Amino acid sequence: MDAAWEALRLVLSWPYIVYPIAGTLLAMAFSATPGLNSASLMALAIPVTIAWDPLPVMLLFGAFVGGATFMGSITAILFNIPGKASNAVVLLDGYPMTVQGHAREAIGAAATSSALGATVGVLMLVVMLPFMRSAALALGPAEYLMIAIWGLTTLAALSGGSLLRGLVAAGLGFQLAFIGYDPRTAELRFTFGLDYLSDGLSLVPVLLGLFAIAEVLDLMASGRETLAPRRTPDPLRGRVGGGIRAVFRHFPLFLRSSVLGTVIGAIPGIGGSVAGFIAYGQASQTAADPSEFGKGDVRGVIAPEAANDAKDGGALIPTLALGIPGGTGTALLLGVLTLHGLTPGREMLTDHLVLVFVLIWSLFLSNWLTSLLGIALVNPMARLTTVRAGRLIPVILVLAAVGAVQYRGLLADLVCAVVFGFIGYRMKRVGWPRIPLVMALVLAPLFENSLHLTLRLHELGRIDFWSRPLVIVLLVLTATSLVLPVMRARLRAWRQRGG
Amino acid sequence: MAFDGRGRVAGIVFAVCALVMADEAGATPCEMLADQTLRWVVPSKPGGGYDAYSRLIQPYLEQRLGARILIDNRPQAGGIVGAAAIRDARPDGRTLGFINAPGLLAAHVSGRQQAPDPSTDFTLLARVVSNRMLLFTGHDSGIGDAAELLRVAADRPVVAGTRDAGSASFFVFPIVAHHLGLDYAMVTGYVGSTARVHAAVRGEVDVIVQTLDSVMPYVVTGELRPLLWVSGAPADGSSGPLAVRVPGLSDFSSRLGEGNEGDGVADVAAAVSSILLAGRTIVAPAGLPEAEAACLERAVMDVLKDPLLQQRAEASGLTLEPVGAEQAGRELREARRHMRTYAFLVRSVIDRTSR
Repeated sequence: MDAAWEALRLVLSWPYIVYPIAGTLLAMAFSATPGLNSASLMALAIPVTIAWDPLPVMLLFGAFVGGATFMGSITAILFNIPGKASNAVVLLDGYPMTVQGHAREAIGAAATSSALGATVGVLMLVVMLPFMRSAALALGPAEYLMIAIWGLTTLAALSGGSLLRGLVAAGLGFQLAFIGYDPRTAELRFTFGLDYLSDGLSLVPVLLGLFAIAEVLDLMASGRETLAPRRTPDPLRGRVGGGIRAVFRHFPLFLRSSVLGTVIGAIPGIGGSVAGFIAYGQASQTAADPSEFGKGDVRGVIAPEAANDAKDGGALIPTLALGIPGGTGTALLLGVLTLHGLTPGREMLTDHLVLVFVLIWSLFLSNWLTSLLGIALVNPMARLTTVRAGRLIPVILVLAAVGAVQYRGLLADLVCAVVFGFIGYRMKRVGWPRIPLVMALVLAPLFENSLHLTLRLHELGRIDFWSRPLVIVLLVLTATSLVLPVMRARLRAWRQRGG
Repeated sequence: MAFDGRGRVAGIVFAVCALVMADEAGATPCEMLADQTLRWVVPSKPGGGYDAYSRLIQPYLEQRLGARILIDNRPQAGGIVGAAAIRDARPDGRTLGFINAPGLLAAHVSGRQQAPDPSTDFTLLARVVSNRMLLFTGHDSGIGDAAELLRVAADRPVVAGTRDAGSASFFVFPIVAHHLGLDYAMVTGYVGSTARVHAAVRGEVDVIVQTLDSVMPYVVTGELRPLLWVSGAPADGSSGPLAVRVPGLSDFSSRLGEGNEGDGVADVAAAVSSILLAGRTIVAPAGLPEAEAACLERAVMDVLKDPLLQQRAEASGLTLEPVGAEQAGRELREARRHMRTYAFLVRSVIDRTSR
């Protein structure tokens, strides 16, 4: 406890307070720039900070980890452009809210969920750190496989009412994920002789195409004047306060999603993209009335946003306790720690506990700062949705194109984005859901490798799939995810018939 | 995750900062690469052994070259995908990275069409460290030492957890097992040393083959028990990670005695040591102009011998044994000679795991 207070005192003292603030602003700027993200920022900052003392480095990098997540959701809500894969799910209900003129409410709800979700994540990080070693060891290939399957069961909720179409879209996503080198045997699969495809499809151009370019094509085809419904007299009906209040109105949902986000974030190798999808799925599947999900339901913004920001705290748990990074961002952080002579693990949690708390406080501070700035800027940002389509379309197209090319410096990624733009547009026009495709793309590698390992270990008699407690828990969750919506629908139908 | 660095806009922002902060030590010996963005391919996941070395070297090399280096993690297929990415890049000095030379050699010699040939498909720049590998078991495996491993194998197949084709562990274990007469089965697909260590600690697999520095924290806590040096035991008096006192393959084989399965193991031990010596090698695509190759090699070697970097490597538990391109080439040719002997074995393992 003393270490936590000492760390807080350091974070709030002059001149150290400058570092998390500057780090947050930089992270926000980077994540709002097409083709960049907090990982690029961290990579660039490593050589600049190599000679610094560990304290300002922890402050700066904690802010980098926390300052970027929420910004990607703002562009998802306003323009259907997810900052990264984890933000894609927020657009499911966030963008329809914008189209209905409720952008301010959506951003208010997202900002509040983000700040409070991060707080839950940080609190759980502090509580869970001592138990992480045994928890990480309990997760084997069978558990990873079940997590992937559980994630895939949320397809029902992400399918916009048609499970069959959702399944077909997911099948397409799986097929696309298998393009490129077989991760086990290094054989090329489905590349049709194209060098570009040998590395597989990159998620960034696919996302930009499926959502940003497809949306622009739809806007052009629909002849709508603006993204929001009318330009006058008041196209922006919702209020930020309404969004903030919505989080407290749905507090159990928020809390559940935050805990889920932290736990998923803490599982090494899963990656943050999955947290928001699963949180959205459970929100829809456990809702008494899920009919508005996908059409602009604020609960569809609260759940994934809370999970997305809570997972940052979760992802730090294996990084600090075991030295196992959950993704690129935490891997870079791990690199920074070792460069400054800090070895994650027992030593880090005993000898350098103050620095650990400095990192945690900085993460906490940057999450709140991002949300507060988001709320402060909500009006001018929401006004962008009332700009005439003729002016907005070229800007979005340029941003999408720059984002696609900047990502790996490949012009072919732009072609990929355009191709997926047309695919996304067509899917939208004929009412096929796009999120299951993205979800399958994200989960397929985890599913494939875990399935292979589980089958092999089972074949050799090294694991008994059915006797593993966590597998059973995840099986129950999976079954609940599938059965609960059906039960609820039947119950509703029964009630409507007057039963 | 694929390419984590993203752009030139970012480059402009930080290049300005870097230029302001650069001191005399950051003078640029490779003029043509100054202010350029280089891509550094890592054949492992973020956080893996190759990744740790790469991120250790990155800031020093950036300062040395006056360039920006973006790390591109390509862990698939035991690192073959990453190696292929370097091979297929333009030889303009702007793409370089690590290859796992022994693993790649095994994959190539055994007939993997996609696997680049480490001897001809790359311009060698430096070998950072040889693959000093040991056979480990989990704390609760019931296997106390290498002799007990043989007794276990007499009753049932020993299960080994490895990465995929293209990694060193994938071919080292079958060679050792074959010559020790071990009945074995392999579980491939554990990407990242942590995944393999946890598999051993959980008891999913009996043994894993790892470099010591990648698993040292688990050895210190006793969760992982070293059984055998497969790359030859270091000399007595070694310090740091190399001070682990377990027999080398050659000593162990001599203890097995005349007429035992251990016959010829001494030769095998020498061959395996020679193959693993090729180790973690920094390369660029083949066809890199001589002047650029020479200046890149000099820059990389200067960085690897920088006392501050060596100090940081030691603090991070990373061993450094840098040798230049010429010696790395010699080691690679020798490794290739030995590897040909075992190509049939690696091919049979690949065939079995591909089914």
